[in-house]
Amino acid sequence: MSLPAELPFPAERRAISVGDLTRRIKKLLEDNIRYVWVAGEISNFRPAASGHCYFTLKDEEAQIGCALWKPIAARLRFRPEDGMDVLAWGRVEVYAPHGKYQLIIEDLEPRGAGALAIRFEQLKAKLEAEGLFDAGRKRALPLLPRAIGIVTSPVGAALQDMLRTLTSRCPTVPIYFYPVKVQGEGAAEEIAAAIGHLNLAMPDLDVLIVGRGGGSIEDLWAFNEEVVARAIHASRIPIVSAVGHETDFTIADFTADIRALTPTDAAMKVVPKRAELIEMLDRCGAQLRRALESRAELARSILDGHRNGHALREPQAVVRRLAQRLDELHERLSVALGGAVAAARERLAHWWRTASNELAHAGRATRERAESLRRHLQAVSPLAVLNRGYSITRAEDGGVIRSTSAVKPGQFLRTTLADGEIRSRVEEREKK
Amino acid sequence: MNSDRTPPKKARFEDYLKQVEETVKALESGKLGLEESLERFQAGKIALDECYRILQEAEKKIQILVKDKDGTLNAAAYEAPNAETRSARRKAESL
Repeated sequence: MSLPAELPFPAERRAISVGDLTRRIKKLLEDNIRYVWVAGEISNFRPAASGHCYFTLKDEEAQIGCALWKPIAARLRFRPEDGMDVLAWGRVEVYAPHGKYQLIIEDLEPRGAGALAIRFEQLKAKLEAEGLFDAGRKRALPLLPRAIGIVTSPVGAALQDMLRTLTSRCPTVPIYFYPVKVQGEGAAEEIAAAIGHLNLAMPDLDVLIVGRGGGSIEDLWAFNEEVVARAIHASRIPIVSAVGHETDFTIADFTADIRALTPTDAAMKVVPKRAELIEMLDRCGAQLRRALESRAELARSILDGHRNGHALREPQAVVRRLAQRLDELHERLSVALGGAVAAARERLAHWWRTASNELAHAGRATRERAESLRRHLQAVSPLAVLNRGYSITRAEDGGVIRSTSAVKPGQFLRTTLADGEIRSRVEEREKK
Repeated sequence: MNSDRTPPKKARFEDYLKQVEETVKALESGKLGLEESLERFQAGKIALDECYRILQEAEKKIQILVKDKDGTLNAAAYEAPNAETRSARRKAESL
């Protein structure tokens, strides 16, 4: 086979090296195609051990090899996968050793309607795996916070809705409003910084509402950024998220201690109605008085039983024991006390008479006394009880003696009565 | 990690309320002596009064936090924009 005669071979065959040719190709390509946006589908994505990633970008007509260096790969807000439609920003480079050209990626982002959904799902999966959403991390809100922080935009209805609801429910709780940008460039960073700042600067805040009113998925996007989730996660102050409407779920919602459906709902969650709290306190107060009252009733029924020789509410044996103990005490005091405390003994005798009279009187008027007791319960004091016939015996260290086994013969005792004290010494003890 | 997330301890409304509830429980148990019952009742009453005091404090002004040049937060009284200025702004934004 012979070559056609008209083929334009140069007269002289002056060759250049492969290297020279490649250098010319390289110069031609790299000078003419600087940075470009390229749309295509990722295939054959291969992360290397070095941290660099390699893949092919293709469409129906062609394909190009791509290199994604480690620092760029680490900065991406999503994880590239085979089959994903992307926009790549980069420059063409000729790799001389292999005689290949490739696209050096400087930035990469998902393309099309699913792009934000991809970023959302991927970040959600990542943070969930790290435990940022664990139910065990969620903290309960205090019944009534000492102070409330609000991180939101100064414009828009969300802030006014929250303030109106908070102040109408409980106007005594201080509110601190930290204005931030909630959408657009830098919004996520501002929100995150505000959460961090309040944690450092405002130790009295017991709860923080972070949120904004409704909007498109792009408007709400700041609340889907990792930096906001990290700030919520690190917050010492419990956080209520209130982003958009009931149907909007953001990464911030998953990370927060409590997700509110709307800003108004958040306000309702952080403070109860003051009137309801006051009602509850009234109930607690009544319960407290009733509890003391029934304890006092029990004591009085024992005394009444002793005086009348009938056990009104208590088994008779208990009453007899009590009566005997009182008699015995009286007797022992008479024997044990020397001249120096004769006056004290007189006082005791006097007290005993008065108490007996009172009891006799009281026995006839049990009902009236119950009423009067109820009326005076708030003012009741240990002194008043002593007036009704009790005494308190203490050891020298001040500990109340409740059992014979708490004392030893020879030990000094102090007995407190309504009008003073008696100091005595234990002769012997008898256990029943 | 968890200790970093615990709010600082300082008596709050619910701490006082808890004291009241515990007092009621202790009194109702019937295990306390008369003298101790009275002491507990009085302590419970003080805690209850503290709860009322918190709820009866004066109404609080809303504060807006403003960051100054060196980054410290200053609180100032917050004035809600009234309906007119808000609708005016909305109008301005739509133009």
